[in-house]
Amino acid sequence: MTAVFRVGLVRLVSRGSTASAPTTLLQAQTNALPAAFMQKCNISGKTMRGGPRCPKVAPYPYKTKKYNVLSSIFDKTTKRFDENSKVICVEGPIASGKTKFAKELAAELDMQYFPAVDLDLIFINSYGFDMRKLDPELPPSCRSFDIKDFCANPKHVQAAQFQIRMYMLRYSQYVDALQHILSTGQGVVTERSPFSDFVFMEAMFRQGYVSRGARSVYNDVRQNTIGELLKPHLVIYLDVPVDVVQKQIKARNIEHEVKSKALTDSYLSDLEVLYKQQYLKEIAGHAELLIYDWSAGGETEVVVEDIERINFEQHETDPHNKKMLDWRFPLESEWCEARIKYCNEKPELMSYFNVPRYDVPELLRSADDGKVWRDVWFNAPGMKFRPGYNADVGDTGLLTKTKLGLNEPF
Amino acid sequence: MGASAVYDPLELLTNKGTRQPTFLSPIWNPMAGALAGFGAALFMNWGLRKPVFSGVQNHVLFTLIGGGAGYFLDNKRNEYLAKRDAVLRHYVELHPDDFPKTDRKKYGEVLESWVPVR
Repeated sequence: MTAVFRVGLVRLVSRGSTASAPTTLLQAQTNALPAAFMQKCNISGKTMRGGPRCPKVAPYPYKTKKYNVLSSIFDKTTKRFDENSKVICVEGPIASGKTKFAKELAAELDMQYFPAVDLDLIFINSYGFDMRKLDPELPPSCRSFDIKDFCANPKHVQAAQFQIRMYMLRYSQYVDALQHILSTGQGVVTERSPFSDFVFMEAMFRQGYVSRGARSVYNDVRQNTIGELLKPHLVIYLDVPVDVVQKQIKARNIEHEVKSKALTDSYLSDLEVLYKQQYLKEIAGHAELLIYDWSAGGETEVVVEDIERINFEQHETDPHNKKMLDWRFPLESEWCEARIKYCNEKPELMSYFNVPRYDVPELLRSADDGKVWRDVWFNAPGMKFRPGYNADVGDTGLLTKTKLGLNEPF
Repeated sequence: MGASAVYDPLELLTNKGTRQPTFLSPIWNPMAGALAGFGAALFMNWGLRKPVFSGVQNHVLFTLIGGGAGYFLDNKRNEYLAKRDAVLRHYVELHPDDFPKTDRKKYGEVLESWVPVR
Protein backbone atom coordinates (compact mmCIF):
# COMPACT_ATOMS: atom_id res chain seq x y z
CA MET A 1 0.00 0.00 0.00
CA THR A 2 2.81 2.36 0.90
CA ALA A 3 4.56 1.52 -2.34
CA VAL A 4 1.52 2.41 -4.40
CA PHE A 5 1.19 5.68 -2.56
CA ARG A 6 4.87 6.44 -3.09
CA VAL A 7 4.63 5.80 -6.81
CA GLY A 8 1.64 8.07 -6.99
CA LEU A 9 3.49 10.80 -5.12
CA VAL A 10 6.53 10.47 -7.32
CA ARG A 11 4.36 10.84 -10.40
CA LEU A 12 2.69 13.90 -9.01
CA VAL A 13 5.95 15.52 -8.05
CA SER A 14 7.66 14.76 -11.33
CA ARG A 15 4.72 16.00 -13.34
CA GLY A 16 5.05 19.29 -11.58
CA SER A 17 8.79 19.59 -12.23
CA THR A 18 9.02 18.51 -15.87
CA ALA A 19 7.06 19.63 -18.86
CA SER A 20 6.35 16.22 -20.37
CA ALA A 21 4.74 13.44 -18.39
CA PRO A 22 7.04 10.46 -17.72
CA THR A 23 5.99 7.38 -19.62
CA THR A 24 7.48 4.69 -17.41
CA LEU A 25 7.87 4.16 -13.73
CA LEU A 26 11.65 4.10 -14.07
CA GLN A 27 11.63 7.40 -15.87
CA ALA A 28 9.35 8.83 -13.23
CA GLN A 29 11.78 7.86 -10.53
CA THR A 30 14.72 9.20 -12.44
CA ASN A 31 12.91 12.46 -12.91
CA ALA A 32 12.35 12.65 -9.20
CA LEU A 33 16.06 12.37 -8.46
CA PRO A 34 17.94 15.50 -7.50
CA ALA A 35 19.15 17.69 -10.31
CA ALA A 36 22.77 16.67 -9.81
CA PHE A 37 22.04 13.18 -11.03
CA MET A 38 20.22 14.47 -14.05
CA GLN A 39 23.23 16.30 -15.33
CA LYS A 40 24.06 15.05 -18.78
CA CYS A 41 27.59 14.96 -19.97
CA ASN A 42 27.90 13.52 -23.43
CA ILE A 43 30.61 13.54 -26.05
CA SER A 44 30.13 16.51 -28.33
CA GLY A 45 31.35 17.11 -31.86
CA LYS A 46 32.74 20.31 -33.33
CA THR A 47 29.51 21.06 -35.17
CA MET A 48 27.39 20.64 -32.08
CA ARG A 49 29.73 22.68 -29.90
CA GLY A 50 30.09 25.29 -32.61
CA GLY A 51 33.86 25.44 -32.41
CA PRO A 52 37.02 23.65 -31.46
CA ARG A 53 37.55 22.15 -28.05
CA CYS A 54 38.96 24.58 -25.49
CA PRO A 55 41.05 22.69 -22.92
CA LYS A 56 40.54 23.85 -19.37
CA VAL A 57 44.19 23.37 -18.44
CA ALA A 58 47.20 23.32 -20.75
CA PRO A 59 48.17 19.75 -21.75
CA TYR A 60 51.04 18.13 -19.86
CA PRO A 61 54.07 17.61 -22.12
CA TYR A 62 54.08 13.89 -21.38
CA LYS A 63 56.38 12.98 -24.25
CA THR A 64 59.27 15.05 -22.96
CA LYS A 65 58.56 15.37 -19.26
CA LYS A 66 58.43 12.62 -16.67
CA TYR A 67 55.31 12.19 -14.59
CA ASN A 68 56.19 10.56 -11.28
CA VAL A 69 54.98 10.59 -7.70
CA LEU A 70 56.57 13.96 -7.06
CA SER A 71 54.93 15.54 -10.11
CA SER A 72 51.60 14.02 -9.10
CA ILE A 73 51.63 16.18 -5.98
CA PHE A 74 51.72 19.33 -8.08
CA ASP A 75 49.88 18.24 -11.20
CA LYS A 76 46.56 16.47 -10.68
CA THR A 77 44.89 14.49 -13.40
CA THR A 78 41.12 14.98 -13.62
CA LYS A 79 41.32 18.76 -13.94
CA ARG A 80 42.00 18.30 -17.66
CA PHE A 81 39.10 15.93 -18.24
CA ASP A 82 35.91 16.89 -19.97
CA GLU A 83 33.05 15.04 -21.63
CA ASN A 84 35.23 14.22 -24.65
CA SER A 85 37.97 12.52 -22.64
CA LYS A 86 37.05 9.09 -23.93
CA VAL A 87 38.77 6.20 -25.70
CA ILE A 88 37.05 5.21 -28.91
CA CYS A 89 38.16 2.11 -30.81
CA VAL A 90 37.20 1.71 -34.44
CA GLU A 91 37.00 -1.96 -35.35
CA GLY A 92 36.15 -3.77 -38.51
CA PRO A 93 37.42 -6.20 -41.13
CA ILE A 94 40.24 -5.50 -43.56
CA ALA A 95 39.63 -2.70 -46.09
CA SER A 96 36.37 -1.65 -44.45
CA GLY A 97 37.23 2.05 -44.48
CA LYS A 98 38.35 2.25 -40.86
CA THR A 99 41.25 4.64 -41.49
CA LYS A 100 39.19 7.26 -43.32
CA PHE A 101 36.36 6.96 -40.84
CA ALA A 102 38.59 7.10 -37.77
CA LYS A 103 40.41 10.17 -39.09
CA GLU A 104 37.14 11.98 -39.82
CA LEU A 105 35.74 10.98 -36.45
CA ALA A 106 38.84 12.21 -34.63
CA ALA A 107 38.72 15.51 -36.51
CA GLU A 108 35.04 16.05 -35.76
CA LEU A 109 35.31 15.13 -32.08
CA ASP A 110 38.64 16.95 -31.65
CA MET A 111 40.29 13.76 -30.53
CA GLN A 112 43.77 12.38 -31.12
CA TYR A 113 43.90 9.81 -33.91
CA PHE A 114 46.17 6.79 -33.48
CA PRO A 115 46.77 5.00 -36.79
CA ALA A 116 46.76 1.25 -37.25
CA VAL A 117 50.04 -0.36 -36.19
CA ASP A 118 52.47 -1.87 -38.60
CA LEU A 119 55.64 -3.92 -38.12
CA ASP A 120 57.53 -0.96 -39.59
CA LEU A 121 57.52 0.28 -36.01
CA ILE A 122 59.94 -2.56 -35.26
CA PHE A 123 61.80 -2.83 -38.54
CA ILE A 124 62.51 0.86 -39.10
CA ASN A 125 64.80 2.10 -36.36
CA SER A 126 64.91 5.53 -34.73
CA TYR A 127 67.12 6.87 -37.52
CA GLY A 128 64.94 5.61 -40.36
CA PHE A 129 67.19 2.70 -41.28
CA ASP A 130 65.21 -0.27 -42.56
CA MET A 131 66.35 -3.31 -40.59
CA ARG A 132 64.86 -5.60 -43.24
CA LYS A 133 67.97 -4.84 -45.30
CA LEU A 134 69.90 -7.06 -42.87
CA ASP A 135 67.94 -10.17 -43.84
CA PRO A 136 70.61 -11.68 -46.12
CA GLU A 137 73.09 -11.68 -43.23
CA LEU A 138 70.67 -13.33 -40.79
CA PRO A 139 69.74 -16.98 -40.25
CA PRO A 140 66.19 -17.85 -41.49
CA SER A 141 64.70 -17.93 -37.99
CA CYS A 142 65.72 -14.33 -37.32
CA ARG A 143 64.76 -12.68 -40.60
CA SER A 144 62.09 -10.04 -40.82
CA PHE A 145 58.50 -11.14 -41.34
CA ASP A 146 55.92 -8.44 -41.90
CA ILE A 147 52.42 -8.17 -43.32
CA LYS A 148 53.66 -8.62 -46.88
CA ASP A 149 55.42 -11.86 -45.98
CA PHE A 150 52.37 -13.02 -44.07
CA CYS A 151 50.07 -12.35 -47.02
CA ALA A 152 52.43 -14.16 -49.36
CA ASN A 153 53.07 -17.11 -47.10
CA PRO A 154 50.61 -17.40 -44.20
CA LYS A 155 51.79 -20.86 -43.17
CA HIS A 156 55.36 -19.71 -42.59
CA VAL A 157 56.87 -20.67 -39.21
CA GLN A 158 57.14 -17.01 -38.27
CA ALA A 159 53.40 -16.31 -38.71
CA ALA A 160 52.76 -16.81 -34.99
CA GLN A 161 55.62 -14.52 -34.03
CA PHE A 162 54.25 -11.96 -36.48
CA GLN A 163 50.85 -11.92 -34.77
CA ILE A 164 52.38 -11.76 -31.28
CA ARG A 165 54.40 -8.76 -32.43
CA MET A 166 51.27 -7.14 -33.83
CA TYR A 167 49.63 -7.61 -30.45
CA MET A 168 52.66 -6.15 -28.72
CA LEU A 169 52.62 -3.08 -30.97
CA ARG A 170 48.89 -2.58 -30.47
CA TYR A 171 49.42 -2.88 -26.74
CA SER A 172 52.27 -0.39 -26.81
CA GLN A 173 50.22 2.04 -28.88
CA TYR A 174 47.23 1.68 -26.57
CA VAL A 175 49.47 2.56 -23.61
CA ASP A 176 50.51 5.66 -25.58
CA ALA A 177 46.85 6.47 -26.14
CA LEU A 178 46.17 6.17 -22.41
CA GLN A 179 49.18 8.40 -21.72
CA HIS A 180 47.68 10.95 -24.07
CA ILE A 181 44.21 10.97 -22.56
CA LEU A 182 45.45 11.04 -18.96
CA SER A 183 48.01 13.78 -19.60
CA THR A 184 46.03 16.06 -21.89
CA GLY A 185 42.38 15.21 -21.30
CA GLN A 186 41.91 14.95 -25.04
CA GLY A 187 40.02 11.88 -26.19
CA VAL A 188 41.61 9.30 -28.48
CA VAL A 189 40.42 7.37 -31.51
CA THR A 190 42.36 4.17 -32.19
CA GLU A 191 42.15 1.87 -35.14
CA ARG A 192 41.70 -1.63 -33.78
CA SER A 193 42.99 -2.32 -30.29
CA PRO A 194 44.92 -4.93 -28.30
CA PHE A 195 41.55 -6.17 -27.05
CA SER A 196 40.42 -7.30 -30.50
CA ASP A 197 43.79 -8.65 -31.61
CA PHE A 198 43.00 -12.20 -30.45
CA VAL A 199 40.44 -12.38 -33.26
CA PHE A 200 43.28 -12.56 -35.78
CA MET A 201 45.22 -15.19 -33.85
CA GLU A 202 42.11 -17.30 -33.48
CA ALA A 203 41.24 -17.01 -37.18
CA MET A 204 44.84 -17.86 -38.10
CA PHE A 205 44.65 -20.92 -35.90
CA ARG A 206 41.35 -22.02 -37.45
CA GLN A 207 42.88 -21.67 -40.90
CA GLY A 208 45.91 -23.69 -39.86
CA TYR A 209 48.32 -20.75 -40.25
CA VAL A 210 49.61 -21.20 -36.69
CA SER A 211 49.94 -24.19 -34.40
CA ARG A 212 47.93 -24.94 -31.31
CA GLY A 213 51.00 -24.37 -29.13
CA ALA A 214 51.60 -20.93 -30.64
CA ARG A 215 48.00 -19.97 -29.97
CA SER A 216 48.41 -21.16 -26.40
CA VAL A 217 51.52 -18.99 -25.96
CA TYR A 218 49.63 -16.05 -27.44
CA ASN A 219 46.79 -16.58 -25.01
CA ASP A 220 49.24 -16.77 -22.09
CA VAL A 221 50.88 -13.54 -23.17
CA ARG A 222 47.51 -11.88 -23.63
CA GLN A 223 46.29 -13.04 -20.25
CA ASN A 224 49.45 -11.75 -18.62
CA THR A 225 49.24 -8.31 -20.17
CA ILE A 226 45.71 -7.29 -21.12
CA GLY A 227 44.45 -6.76 -17.58
CA GLU A 228 46.81 -3.82 -17.12
CA LEU A 229 44.96 -1.65 -19.62
CA LEU A 230 41.85 0.46 -19.23
CA LYS A 231 39.27 -0.78 -21.72
CA PRO A 232 37.79 1.62 -24.28
CA HIS A 233 34.64 3.63 -23.57
CA LEU A 234 33.18 3.14 -26.98
CA VAL A 235 33.72 0.55 -29.69
CA ILE A 236 32.49 1.27 -33.19
CA TYR A 237 32.28 -1.76 -35.45
CA LEU A 238 32.06 -1.17 -39.17
CA ASP A 239 30.32 -4.25 -40.47
CA VAL A 240 31.27 -5.32 -43.98
CA PRO A 241 30.38 -8.77 -45.34
CA VAL A 242 33.12 -10.99 -46.74
CA ASP A 243 32.27 -10.58 -50.43
CA VAL A 244 32.34 -6.79 -50.10
CA VAL A 245 35.66 -7.03 -48.23
CA GLN A 246 37.07 -8.97 -51.17
CA LYS A 247 35.78 -6.32 -53.56
CA GLN A 248 37.25 -3.53 -51.45
CA ILE A 249 40.60 -5.30 -51.34
CA LYS A 250 40.60 -5.45 -55.14
CA ALA A 251 39.43 -1.87 -55.39
CA ARG A 252 42.16 -0.50 -53.15
CA ASN A 253 44.68 -2.62 -55.05
CA ILE A 254 47.54 -3.01 -52.61
CA GLU A 255 49.72 -5.60 -54.24
CA HIS A 256 50.35 -7.95 -51.33
CA GLU A 257 46.68 -7.90 -50.35
CA VAL A 258 45.33 -8.59 -53.83
CA LYS A 259 47.72 -11.47 -54.45
CA SER A 260 47.42 -12.71 -50.88
CA LYS A 261 47.19 -16.38 -50.02
CA ALA A 262 46.19 -15.47 -46.47
CA LEU A 263 43.10 -13.37 -47.08
CA THR A 264 40.89 -16.19 -48.28
CA ASP A 265 37.11 -16.16 -47.98
CA SER A 266 37.20 -18.66 -45.14
CA TYR A 267 39.83 -16.63 -43.22
CA LEU A 268 37.80 -13.46 -43.64
CA SER A 269 34.56 -15.13 -42.61
CA ASP A 270 36.32 -16.60 -39.57
CA LEU A 271 37.43 -13.09 -38.72
CA GLU A 272 33.90 -11.81 -39.06
CA VAL A 273 32.41 -14.59 -36.94
CA LEU A 274 35.03 -14.18 -34.22
CA TYR A 275 34.66 -10.43 -34.21
CA LYS A 276 30.91 -10.59 -33.83
CA GLN A 277 30.46 -13.64 -31.66
CA GLN A 278 33.42 -13.25 -29.34
CA TYR A 279 34.93 -9.81 -29.34
CA LEU A 280 31.84 -7.61 -29.68
CA LYS A 281 29.92 -9.78 -27.23
CA GLU A 282 32.74 -9.57 -24.70
CA ILE A 283 33.44 -5.87 -25.03
CA ALA A 284 29.73 -4.94 -25.00
CA GLY A 285 29.71 -5.90 -21.34
CA HIS A 286 32.23 -3.18 -20.69
CA ALA A 287 31.98 -0.50 -23.35
CA GLU A 288 29.29 1.20 -25.34
CA LEU A 289 28.99 -0.44 -28.72
CA LEU A 290 27.86 0.97 -32.05
CA ILE A 291 27.61 -1.28 -35.08
CA TYR A 292 27.09 0.06 -38.58
CA ASP A 293 26.57 -1.66 -41.88
CA TRP A 294 29.47 -0.12 -43.75
CA SER A 295 29.28 -2.21 -46.92
CA ALA A 296 28.63 0.89 -49.01
CA GLY A 297 30.58 3.24 -46.75
CA GLY A 298 28.71 5.71 -44.58
CA GLU A 299 28.43 9.20 -43.19
CA THR A 300 30.68 10.09 -40.29
CA GLU A 301 28.21 12.82 -39.25
CA VAL A 302 25.51 10.23 -38.63
CA VAL A 303 27.83 8.28 -36.36
CA VAL A 304 28.83 11.46 -34.53
CA GLU A 305 25.16 12.21 -33.90
CA ASP A 306 24.69 8.73 -32.48
CA ILE A 307 27.76 9.16 -30.27
CA GLU A 308 26.43 12.47 -28.99
CA ARG A 309 23.28 10.68 -27.84
CA ILE A 310 25.12 8.14 -25.70
CA ASN A 311 24.94 9.03 -22.05
CA PHE A 312 28.31 8.11 -20.57
CA GLU A 313 27.54 9.79 -17.29
CA GLN A 314 25.10 7.08 -16.24
CA HIS A 315 27.98 4.62 -15.78
CA GLU A 316 29.70 6.92 -13.36
CA THR A 317 26.69 7.86 -11.27
CA ASP A 318 25.37 4.34 -10.83
CA PRO A 319 27.76 2.21 -8.73
CA HIS A 320 25.97 -1.00 -9.78
CA ASN A 321 26.50 -0.40 -13.45
CA LYS A 322 28.87 -3.02 -14.80
CA LYS A 323 30.13 -0.91 -17.68
CA MET A 324 33.38 1.05 -17.62
CA LEU A 325 34.25 -0.29 -14.19
CA ASP A 326 37.99 0.10 -14.70
CA TRP A 327 37.60 3.83 -15.38
CA ARG A 328 36.12 4.48 -11.96
CA PHE A 329 38.77 5.87 -9.65
CA PRO A 330 37.12 7.27 -6.55
CA LEU A 331 40.12 9.32 -5.47
CA GLU A 332 42.20 11.85 -7.33
CA SER A 333 45.33 10.07 -6.15
CA GLU A 334 44.16 6.90 -7.87
CA TRP A 335 43.84 8.78 -11.15
CA CYS A 336 47.38 10.03 -10.63
CA GLU A 337 48.61 6.52 -9.87
CA ALA A 338 47.06 5.23 -13.08
CA ARG A 339 48.69 8.09 -14.97
CA ILE A 340 52.07 7.31 -13.42
CA LYS A 341 51.62 3.68 -14.42
CA TYR A 342 51.03 4.44 -18.10
CA CYS A 343 53.29 7.48 -18.47
CA ASN A 344 56.24 6.51 -16.33
CA GLU A 345 56.13 2.73 -16.08
CA LYS A 346 55.57 1.70 -19.65
CA PRO A 347 58.77 -0.42 -19.72
CA GLU A 348 57.36 -2.43 -16.80
CA LEU A 349 54.08 -2.92 -18.63
CA MET A 350 55.96 -4.09 -21.72
CA SER A 351 58.07 -6.45 -19.61
CA TYR A 352 54.93 -8.48 -18.88
CA PHE A 353 55.31 -9.87 -22.39
CA ASN A 354 58.23 -11.95 -21.15
CA VAL A 355 56.22 -15.09 -20.52
CA PRO A 356 58.63 -18.02 -20.15
CA ARG A 357 57.20 -20.57 -22.54
CA TYR A 358 59.82 -22.80 -24.12
CA ASP A 359 57.61 -25.55 -25.51
CA VAL A 360 56.77 -24.09 -28.92
CA PRO A 361 59.69 -24.48 -31.34
CA GLU A 362 58.51 -21.88 -33.90
CA LEU A 363 58.67 -19.16 -31.26
CA LEU A 364 62.22 -20.01 -30.22
CA ARG A 365 65.51 -19.41 -31.92
CA SER A 366 68.65 -21.38 -31.27
CA ALA A 367 71.49 -19.85 -29.28
CA ASP A 368 73.71 -19.82 -32.37
CA ASP A 369 71.08 -18.00 -34.43
CA GLY A 370 70.56 -15.60 -31.57
CA LYS A 371 74.26 -14.80 -31.43
CA VAL A 372 74.39 -14.11 -35.18
CA TRP A 373 71.25 -11.97 -34.93
CA ARG A 374 72.61 -10.00 -32.00
CA ASP A 375 75.91 -9.32 -33.73
CA VAL A 376 74.26 -8.17 -36.94
CA TRP A 377 71.29 -6.32 -35.45
CA PHE A 378 73.25 -4.29 -32.92
CA ASN A 379 75.95 -3.37 -35.40
CA ALA A 380 73.51 -1.91 -37.92
CA PRO A 381 73.58 1.86 -38.48
CA GLY A 382 72.17 3.60 -35.43
CA MET A 383 71.80 0.42 -33.38
CA LYS A 384 75.11 0.24 -31.55
CA PHE A 385 73.95 2.54 -28.77
CA ARG A 386 70.58 3.77 -27.58
CA PRO A 387 68.80 6.39 -29.73
CA GLY A 388 70.51 9.76 -29.58
CA TYR A 389 73.95 8.30 -28.82
CA ASN A 390 75.09 7.03 -32.20
CA ALA A 391 77.97 9.02 -33.60
CA ASP A 392 77.96 6.85 -36.75
CA VAL A 393 74.60 8.27 -37.87
CA GLY A 394 75.38 11.84 -36.93
CA ASP A 395 74.56 12.32 -33.25
CA THR A 396 76.78 15.03 -31.84
CA GLY A 397 77.78 16.40 -28.46
CA LEU A 398 78.05 12.91 -26.99
CA LEU A 399 81.00 13.79 -24.76
CA THR A 400 78.78 15.69 -22.35
CA LYS A 401 75.37 14.21 -23.23
CA THR A 402 73.50 12.49 -20.39
CA LYS A 403 69.84 12.90 -21.35
CA LEU A 404 67.66 9.78 -21.64
CA GLY A 405 64.45 9.86 -23.65
CA LEU A 406 61.14 8.82 -22.08
CA ASN A 407 59.91 5.31 -22.86
CA GLU A 408 62.22 5.10 -25.85
CA PRO A 409 63.29 1.79 -27.41
CA PHE A 410 66.23 0.47 -25.45
CA MET B 1 118.98 1.18 21.29
CA GLY B 2 117.90 -2.09 22.91
CA ALA B 3 114.49 -2.60 24.49
CA SER B 4 114.17 -1.39 28.03
CA ALA B 5 114.33 -3.97 30.76
CA VAL B 6 110.86 -3.09 32.02
CA TYR B 7 107.42 -3.22 30.49
CA ASP B 8 105.52 0.07 30.95
CA PRO B 9 101.88 -0.33 29.73
CA LEU B 10 101.55 3.43 29.22
CA GLU B 11 104.72 3.54 27.19
CA LEU B 12 103.38 0.72 25.00
CA LEU B 13 100.24 2.75 24.18
CA THR B 14 102.06 6.04 23.61
CA ASN B 15 105.35 5.50 21.92
CA LYS B 16 104.95 4.63 18.25
CA GLY B 17 108.68 4.46 17.75
CA THR B 18 110.24 5.65 14.54
CA ARG B 19 107.73 4.02 12.16
CA GLN B 20 107.05 6.19 9.07
CA PRO B 21 103.95 5.79 6.87
CA THR B 22 104.78 4.41 3.44
CA PHE B 23 104.20 6.40 0.27
CA LEU B 24 101.06 4.48 -0.65
CA SER B 25 99.39 3.99 2.71
CA PRO B 26 97.75 7.44 3.06
CA ILE B 27 96.59 7.58 -0.59
CA TRP B 28 95.64 3.97 -1.16
CA ASN B 29 92.02 4.18 -0.02
CA PRO B 30 91.19 7.51 -1.71
CA MET B 31 92.73 6.16 -4.90
CA ALA B 32 90.75 2.92 -4.75
CA GLY B 33 87.56 4.92 -4.12
CA ALA B 34 88.23 7.22 -7.06
CA LEU B 35 88.87 4.26 -9.32
CA ALA B 36 85.64 2.57 -8.19
CA GLY B 37 83.71 5.80 -8.88
CA PHE B 38 85.18 6.09 -12.35
CA GLY B 39 84.40 2.43 -13.00
CA ALA B 40 80.83 2.96 -11.81
CA ALA B 41 80.38 5.79 -14.33
CA LEU B 42 81.67 3.53 -17.12
CA PHE B 43 79.44 0.69 -15.99
CA MET B 44 76.39 2.94 -15.83
CA ASN B 45 76.95 4.10 -19.39
CA TRP B 46 77.49 0.56 -20.60
CA GLY B 47 74.35 -0.62 -18.84
CA LEU B 48 72.26 2.16 -20.36
CA ARG B 49 73.66 1.39 -23.83
CA LYS B 50 75.52 4.66 -24.14
CA PRO B 51 79.12 5.03 -25.33
CA VAL B 52 81.20 4.51 -22.16
CA PHE B 53 82.83 7.93 -22.48
CA SER B 54 79.66 9.98 -22.95
CA GLY B 55 78.58 12.47 -20.32
CA VAL B 56 82.11 12.82 -18.94
CA GLN B 57 80.93 15.27 -16.28
CA ASN B 58 79.45 12.18 -14.61
CA HIS B 59 82.84 10.48 -14.70
CA VAL B 60 84.48 13.48 -13.02
CA LEU B 61 81.72 13.71 -10.44
CA PHE B 62 81.75 9.99 -9.65
CA THR B 63 85.56 9.97 -9.40
CA LEU B 64 85.51 12.89 -6.98
CA ILE B 65 82.78 11.29 -4.91
CA GLY B 66 84.69 7.98 -4.84
CA GLY B 67 88.00 9.66 -3.91
CA GLY B 68 86.26 11.74 -1.26
CA ALA B 69 84.62 8.66 0.18
CA GLY B 70 88.01 6.89 0.38
CA TYR B 71 89.60 9.91 2.09
CA PHE B 72 86.67 10.21 4.50
CA LEU B 73 86.80 6.53 5.44
CA ASP B 74 90.58 6.73 5.97
CA ASN B 75 90.14 9.66 8.33
CA LYS B 76 87.29 7.95 10.07
CA ARG B 77 89.43 4.87 10.68
CA ASN B 78 92.38 6.90 12.01
CA GLU B 79 90.08 8.79 14.33
CA TYR B 80 88.63 5.57 15.62
CA LEU B 81 92.03 4.05 16.36
CA ALA B 82 93.31 7.24 18.02
CA LYS B 83 90.25 7.41 20.19
CA ARG B 84 90.58 3.77 21.17
CA ASP B 85 94.21 4.30 22.26
CA ALA B 86 93.26 7.43 24.15
CA VAL B 87 90.56 5.57 26.04
CA LEU B 88 92.96 2.77 26.91
CA ARG B 89 95.66 5.24 28.03
CA HIS B 90 93.18 7.07 30.16
CA TYR B 91 92.08 3.84 31.77
CA VAL B 92 95.63 2.84 32.49
CA GLU B 93 96.29 6.26 34.03
CA LEU B 94 93.23 5.93 36.25
CA HIS B 95 94.07 2.40 37.37
CA PRO B 96 97.87 2.36 37.82
CA ASP B 97 97.57 -0.49 40.36
CA ASP B 98 96.13 -2.84 37.76
CA PHE B 99 98.91 -2.10 35.29
CA PRO B 100 102.19 -2.38 37.14
CA LYS B 101 105.49 -2.04 35.37
CA THR B 102 106.80 -5.56 34.98
CA ASP B 103 110.22 -6.84 34.22
CA ARG B 104 110.86 -8.04 30.82
CA LYS B 105 111.12 -11.77 30.59
CA LYS B 106 112.38 -14.11 27.98
CA TYR B 107 110.56 -17.21 26.99
CA GLY B 108 113.27 -19.23 28.54
CA GLU B 109 112.31 -17.75 31.89
CA VAL B 110 108.59 -18.30 31.38
CA LEU B 111 108.60 -21.82 29.99
CA GLU B 112 109.71 -24.75 32.03
CA SER B 113 112.49 -26.87 30.68
CA TRP B 114 111.31 -29.64 28.48
CA VAL B 115 112.13 -33.05 29.67
CA PRO B 116 110.76 -35.69 27.37
CA VAL B 117 109.66 -38.87 29.08
CA ARG B 118 109.62 -41.85 26.75
